[in-house]
Amino acid sequence: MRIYTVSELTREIKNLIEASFPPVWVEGEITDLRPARSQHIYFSLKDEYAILSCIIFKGDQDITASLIKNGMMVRVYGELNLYEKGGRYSLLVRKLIPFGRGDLYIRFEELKKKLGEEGLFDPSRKRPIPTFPERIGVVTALHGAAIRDLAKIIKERMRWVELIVRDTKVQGVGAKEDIAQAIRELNEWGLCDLIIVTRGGGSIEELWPFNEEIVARAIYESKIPVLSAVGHEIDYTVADFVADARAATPSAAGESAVRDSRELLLNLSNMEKHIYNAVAGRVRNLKERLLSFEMSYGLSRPCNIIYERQQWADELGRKLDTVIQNLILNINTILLSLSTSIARERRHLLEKTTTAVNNLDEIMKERFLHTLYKKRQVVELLKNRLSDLSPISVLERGYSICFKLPEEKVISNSILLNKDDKVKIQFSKGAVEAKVRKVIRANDQ
Amino acid sequence: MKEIKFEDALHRLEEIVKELEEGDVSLDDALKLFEEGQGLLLFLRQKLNRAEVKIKELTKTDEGFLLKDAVETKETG
Repeated sequence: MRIYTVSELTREIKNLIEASFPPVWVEGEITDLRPARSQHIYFSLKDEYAILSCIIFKGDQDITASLIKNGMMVRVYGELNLYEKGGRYSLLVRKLIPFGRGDLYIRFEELKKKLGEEGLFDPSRKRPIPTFPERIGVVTALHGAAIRDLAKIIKERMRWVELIVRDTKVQGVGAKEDIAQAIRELNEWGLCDLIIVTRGGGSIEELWPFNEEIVARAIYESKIPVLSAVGHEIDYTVADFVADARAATPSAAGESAVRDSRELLLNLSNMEKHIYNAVAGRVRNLKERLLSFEMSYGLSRPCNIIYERQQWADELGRKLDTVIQNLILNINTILLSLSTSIARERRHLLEKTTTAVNNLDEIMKERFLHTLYKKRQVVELLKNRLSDLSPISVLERGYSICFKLPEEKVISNSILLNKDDKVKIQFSKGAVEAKVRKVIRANDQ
Repeated sequence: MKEIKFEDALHRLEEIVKELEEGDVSLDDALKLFEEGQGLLLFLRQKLNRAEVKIKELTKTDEGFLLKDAVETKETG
């Protein structure tokens, strides 16, 4: 009997399966849909009794990934493949046709194809989004999440922009007509330099108005550039294809619509420096030339030439004075506006800081008490040690002090005393006065 | 007088920097450019430092377009 290795057996099964099934059509319900980071899409098809694992490779762009949902009934076309390392077989899907609820998918694909053929998506007709839009028309629900997200980003980046919202139904009956009408009205009004068509995330049905022909045509006909931002990253709508630019989300639309003013302010400061240096350099040059001119011609020419030059120099000086005064005036205005915004920031910071300081205060109090306690212990210890050294405690241990009278000078060497000197001897308790009867020198002992 | 556009002001300022740096303008013109540049800088900075984004609502009525301040959108749900 032949014994196979795992690879040999797998290889034979693979050959068998792949050879006996040319590309096939399979029908079933999508389940366990999981898009992978590689952008391949993995899912299973199931019916009542069995399950079949399926893969759509990234390259097969005919299939619009965002429209595939769990629970969808589909017919798929592809070939079977056995993945030897995983010991699994899968259907490599080339075509996918939904039915039942999937008719939205078909409508999407059909409209996309039709409009694409008409040239509505041509890259050549895409207009650039203005670098500095000042008034942005927004087609969205006035109280929806999209305008809130968009406004938040724009507030962070560029506060002088005006957002003109044309309140619009963004889902359900009448939404598509309203969106299209809004785009036309903003064009008729004509005072925006950019239109953002946007709504937040939702189900495929909720996003559907943005897949309608009437909306696509309104975007196409807009004389003002249109930026579309519908749903989340993965949601592509027909509106996205027609618009001059597409942003993944309402926030992303804010980012691509306006530039960051912090960056710009920095740029302005640089330009100011350049202008200032260029003019200052010129004035310096001229002054030098003037000076050398006067020196070389002044003596040999009539005085009026010198006067003329002086007059010119005076005029120049006056002009520069005005310029400098204006400059100071400008700087003052800038400082003033800066100081108000600083004051505002400061108030905000102050509130934040106060809370932080209060917390710190508590911590510090605790630390302080702890340290105090420790220090006290040390002091206590030192006090004990000190009292050991004090003469009183020495006396307590039986020593006594001898003072020479009358000056009460402490005597530590008998050489300082003579016979008949008066002394006072201090004990721990009490003292005596005495007279020296005999002096014994240290050497005699 | 029509208000100058931000983008145009910025471009003009860039031009002025270039002209001044290339250095073949007369002193008189240089000073004029300098003054113009200061004006533009002031204008641009004032715009950039504005405190708030204005959100307005546009409605079309029988009499024409109507623009009113939109109330700050509240979080719903």
